[in-house]
Amino acid sequence: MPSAALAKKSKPFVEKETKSEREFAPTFNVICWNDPVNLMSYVTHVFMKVFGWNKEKAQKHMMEVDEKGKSVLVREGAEKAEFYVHQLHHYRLHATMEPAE
Amino acid sequence: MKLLKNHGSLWQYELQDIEAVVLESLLKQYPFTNLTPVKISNGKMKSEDLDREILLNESLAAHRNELKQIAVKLAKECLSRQKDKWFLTLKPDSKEILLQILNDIRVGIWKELGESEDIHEPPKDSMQKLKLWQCMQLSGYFEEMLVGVSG
Repeated sequence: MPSAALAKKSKPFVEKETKSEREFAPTFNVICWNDPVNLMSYVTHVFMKVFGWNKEKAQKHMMEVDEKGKSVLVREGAEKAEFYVHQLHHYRLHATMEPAE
Repeated sequence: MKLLKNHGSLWQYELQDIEAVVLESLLKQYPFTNLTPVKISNGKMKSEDLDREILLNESLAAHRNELKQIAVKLAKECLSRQKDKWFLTLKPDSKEILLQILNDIRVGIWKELGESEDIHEPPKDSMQKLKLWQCMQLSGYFEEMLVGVSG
C-alpha cells in the first residue's frame, strides 16, 4: 500500500490531449492518368476490381480520366495509397500518388 | 469468340480456330518487350518518394516474372479442344491474370513503339514493328472480349 506522503505527492497521470497519428500523417491522392492505349472497358473493370466500386462509380472515374486527362481516385495515407498504386500498375494503368493539399 | 457460360465463378468461351491459335501464341511469346521503369509521382520527389519508386519497380518486375510463369500454364490449362471446337475456360483468378498478361503485352508494345497517340495507325518503317503492333491490337481484341459486352 502506498504511504500517505507518497499518496499526497503523486497526482493522477493525465495524458495530454493530442491529435491522433492519423490526423498528422500526410495523405496522398491516388491519380490515374489518361493514355491512348488502355481500353475504356478495361479501365472500368480495373477500378471495380481494385477499389470494389460498382460499375457506375468506376465508369464515372474512367470518363473523367478520358475527358480531363486524369482522375483522383482515392485519398489515403501513404501506405494504402502506395498499395493502390502498385495494384493499378499491375494492371498497367498509369497511376501516381501525389501529396494531398 | 463467344461467351457460352457465365456463372460468376466460371466463364466459358467458344473460340474459332484462328482465335485459339493467336491467343496461345500470345501467351507463349509473352512478355514480348522489356519492362520500362515507371514513376510513382509526377511532382517533386523527396527521398521517401524515391524509395517508394524503387519498391514499385521491383514489385512490377517480380509481378511480371510471376505472370510469365502463369502465361504458359494458362495456355495449357484454360485452352482446350473438344469435338473440333476450341474452348477457353476461366475461373475469376485466371481471368484477372489473363487480363493483366494481355494488357501488359498491349502497354509494353505501345511503349516500345514510341507511345504513339494514334494507336490505330500501323508502323510503316519495319516489319518487326508491324508484327509487334499487330500483337498489340490482338491483345486488345481479347481484352475487349473478356471485359466488354460479353465479359
